[in-house]
Order: sequence, then C-alpha cells, then structure tokens
Amino acid sequence: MIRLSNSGVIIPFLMLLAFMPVATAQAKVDWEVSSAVQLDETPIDIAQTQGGDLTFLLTDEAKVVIYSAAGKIVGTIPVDPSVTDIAVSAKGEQLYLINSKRKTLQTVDINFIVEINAGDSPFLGPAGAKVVLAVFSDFQ
Amino acid sequence: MPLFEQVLDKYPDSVKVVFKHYPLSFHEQALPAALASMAAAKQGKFWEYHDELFINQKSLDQKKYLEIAENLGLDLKKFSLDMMRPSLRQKIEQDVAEAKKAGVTGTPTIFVNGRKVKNRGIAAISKLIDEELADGNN
Repeated sequence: MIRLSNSGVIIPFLMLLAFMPVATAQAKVDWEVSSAVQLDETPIDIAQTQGGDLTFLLTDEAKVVIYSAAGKIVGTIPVDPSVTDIAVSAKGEQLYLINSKRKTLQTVDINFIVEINAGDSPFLGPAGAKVVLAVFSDFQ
Repeated sequence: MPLFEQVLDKYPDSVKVVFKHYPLSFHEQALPAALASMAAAKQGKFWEYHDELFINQKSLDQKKYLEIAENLGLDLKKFSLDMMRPSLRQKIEQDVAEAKKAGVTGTPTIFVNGRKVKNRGIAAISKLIDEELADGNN
C-alpha cells in the first residue's frame, strides 16, 4: 500500500503557495449569462462541438437532444436509459454514449441533412426528379 | 462508365445530378476552369465542357480553355467575355459558401437529398438513393 507521509503533501503545498499570490493578484473573471434555454426535460449531461455550433444534451428521458447555437432543436436521438454521460467529436459527426453502470462506450454516427440549393446549377437527368444528387467539385 | 453516368443509367426517371462549384484554393487552375465551364454553360455546353476539362485536367491554362471552347464550336468572343463576368464569379462564391455551410472540405463531395455520401462507390450511393425513393413512397 502506498501512503504519503505528511511532509510529502505539505512540501508541494507550500511550493504551490509560493507561486499563488502572483496568480491570484492577476486573476480576474468577467462574466455574463449569454443565453438561457428553457428545457422540456431534465438534463443529465452536456457536450459541445468545436466552436460551439451544436450542443448535445443528454436528458433523463433517454434522449440526446441536439441544439443549434441559436437554441433551436436540430434533432433528437433515442438512447439507452442507462447512459450516464456523453461526448461528441469536433464536428458532431460522432456521438459517444458512456454507460458507467454497464461499462460500455457506444459510438453513434450522425448524419446532418443539409439543404442544397439546386436552383440554377447545371444538371443531368429529369428536372423534377425525386432524388437530387449534388456534387461539389472542382476541375483540377 | 463514370459514376454519375452509372447513377443516371440506373435511375433514369428519379435522379438528377447537380453540379456545384467548389474550386479548391490550392488548385491554381480550379477557379479559371470553373469560370470557363460556366461561360460554356451560357452557350448550353456545360457538360461537354466539363468532360473536356477532366480529360485535360493536367494541362489546364487559358490557351486550353479557348482551345476546348473552339473544339466544341462555341462563340469564342462571347466565351471570353462571359468568363470575365462578375456574375459568374458570384455564382461560384455562392456555391462555395453553401459548401462550407454544408461541411464540405474536399472534392468531390456528394450529397443525396442533402445526406452526405461517405463512401463514393455506386453501391453505397444506390443504397442512399433507394432509401430516399422508399421515403418518398410513404
């Protein structure tokens, strides 16, 4: 069994104190509530994409609700009721579901459906086709 | 057979292939080539010009753009003037803005009714198309 002696704890603590006054003297936090969203369900955990475009909220009703930066619901994903924590990849294309009770980690691939304006772009096939295959390309 | 021809061959009545410009900034000829294709579109020859650009992908320059236009029987004076029109550049900028919003980072990037295609094989694309067609029938 490893046990720290008193001096083992106190010495690093004193060293930390020696540096702290400088940090404390300069530390200042400016804050304001930038947004507040009224939620329909009780939140359990939160995760955000890089840049904060999307916020994923795990709720007590076994769902992950995805909010846009403007606070609108972009989508809802049903999850196992015993999921305890969530995390997301940088762009939000993967959602990680952590279940501490069952010791599992699930990865969910997320596809965001985007609106593409086919309007005046060149096309092949029937104009009123049910399916639009849009290709973003260059020629080099 | 190129991928889009395979798709159109398989779904002649239900799929439309739309071309959106996304000239990558590190491809020196990507923007002028896009402008040239749009100038050709103004004379109703976008797809013919598009195919020629891909065939000549490694030797693109202003001379080549005119040569392709001439071979396709385009009005060269009109073609050259159209290539310089700000409205063409604006259209490309609109496509690029739309691409960025849709999370496009490379070319080609394909969407089937707004769903990003992760695997560009005909089988994966057909699967997405079939799902969309099934959705439409419900």
